[in-house]
Amino acid sequence: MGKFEDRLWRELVRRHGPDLAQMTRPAAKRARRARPRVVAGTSFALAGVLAVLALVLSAASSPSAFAVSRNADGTVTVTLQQIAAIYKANAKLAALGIRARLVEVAPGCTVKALPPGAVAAMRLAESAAGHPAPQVAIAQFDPRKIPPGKWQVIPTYRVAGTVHVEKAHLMQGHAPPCFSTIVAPPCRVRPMTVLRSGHLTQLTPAEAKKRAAQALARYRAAVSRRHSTSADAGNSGSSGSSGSSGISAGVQIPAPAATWVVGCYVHGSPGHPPITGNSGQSGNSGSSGNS
Amino acid sequence: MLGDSARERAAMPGRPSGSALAEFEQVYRGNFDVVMAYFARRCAEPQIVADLTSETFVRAAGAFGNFDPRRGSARAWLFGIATHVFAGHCDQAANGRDAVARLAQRRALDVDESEELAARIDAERAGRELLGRCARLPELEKAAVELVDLAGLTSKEAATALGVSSVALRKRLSRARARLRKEHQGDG
Repeated sequence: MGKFEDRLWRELVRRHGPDLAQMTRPAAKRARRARPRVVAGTSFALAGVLAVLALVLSAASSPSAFAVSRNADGTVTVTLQQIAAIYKANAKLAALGIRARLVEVAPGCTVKALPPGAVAAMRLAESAAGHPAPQVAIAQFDPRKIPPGKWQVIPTYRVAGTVHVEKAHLMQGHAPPCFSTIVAPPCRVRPMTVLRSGHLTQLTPAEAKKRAAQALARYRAAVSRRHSTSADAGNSGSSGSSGSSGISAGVQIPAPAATWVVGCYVHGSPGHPPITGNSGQSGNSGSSGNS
Repeated sequence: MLGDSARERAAMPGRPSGSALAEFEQVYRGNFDVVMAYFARRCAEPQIVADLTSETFVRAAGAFGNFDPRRGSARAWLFGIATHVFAGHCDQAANGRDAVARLAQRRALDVDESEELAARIDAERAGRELLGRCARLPELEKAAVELVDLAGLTSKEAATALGVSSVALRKRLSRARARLRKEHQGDG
């Protein structure tokens, strides 16, 4: 049993342990699939009689910890009093067939950055921590407005012993197990191409490729000239070089534009490692001008 | 390799005997090596192998409620996820999408883990060579050879993982083996 295997298992247990511990396996899941239809049908039939039909589905063992209710207008209200009740509330949402999940905001979470709106709300909650705060957090949303393939995620956090929920967000694919309080650093929106020389360009891929080819031709010419005129060929001396190319006589010059830069991070293509002087740093090592 | 699959099936109960967590641990322990080997045959970078293996099991843990052992073995189910994870990795690597999110999820490896992963990657050298020989085969035949002859899945499990019928997979596998044999004899 390897060290990495054990560490990954611990991470899995930390993230998914509570969900797995409460998970019902497929045989029971089939029975659960019928429940949303029953609930929806019931609320639909009584909608004309009752102004608001709240079908509260809270755990019998902890009636005040959470509640999931479907309203007459088709919306769903989730009431949460304890952060630990997230898993039970999510289990109820799953049982109802609703693609929405409460997601805890946890400082140690490294899965996703918290949406900016949630950060602002959290700061507000922190500043208001000394004032009387509601004892329960309430989220209301319309499950019919959740597009296919997307999930409604509701950031949930606790400040000064009180649970808060933030405006729900739609996310592609499954809801993450948690949100981080660390916001991703401000990054450039548009992908950029970085050349082997360390130069960056914000051109389109086709334009970047063309420029890269021109730059490579110029670079090769410069290297061959240097090689022919000077014996000291180890120093490339080209402007803005990141130092990754390490050109010397007789060395094959690598093809440019093998690495993508997205935002502040560098991501290497398969078979083309990221530029060493630039990888993982928040800034760009080379000059930002085009070659 | 086939012994591994038998061990995995023996470790994986047909129906849950305890909590889903205990069941998932059996799936995890019984398949960790083969899933990591699958990525080690494709990538020589320990960090990438670690990331892809982690992502596969994270997705598997999240979707374990949907796994039905009556529809196929856990190994076939995991290889289906691993195939998607690797396809996603190639897609992202090609166009740079979601690189920020991917890097944010990276697990920093310590020296021991890096060495352990490097050893596993090295151990898959023969597998990589065989995959290299399969490079000219159609994708499905290549995948069939890898899952059955390298990863030790049964043809039925491999068919489940690849989303094709067992008959189609056996046919493709037979064709691929014949081509490889012919090429090998040609080389000899």
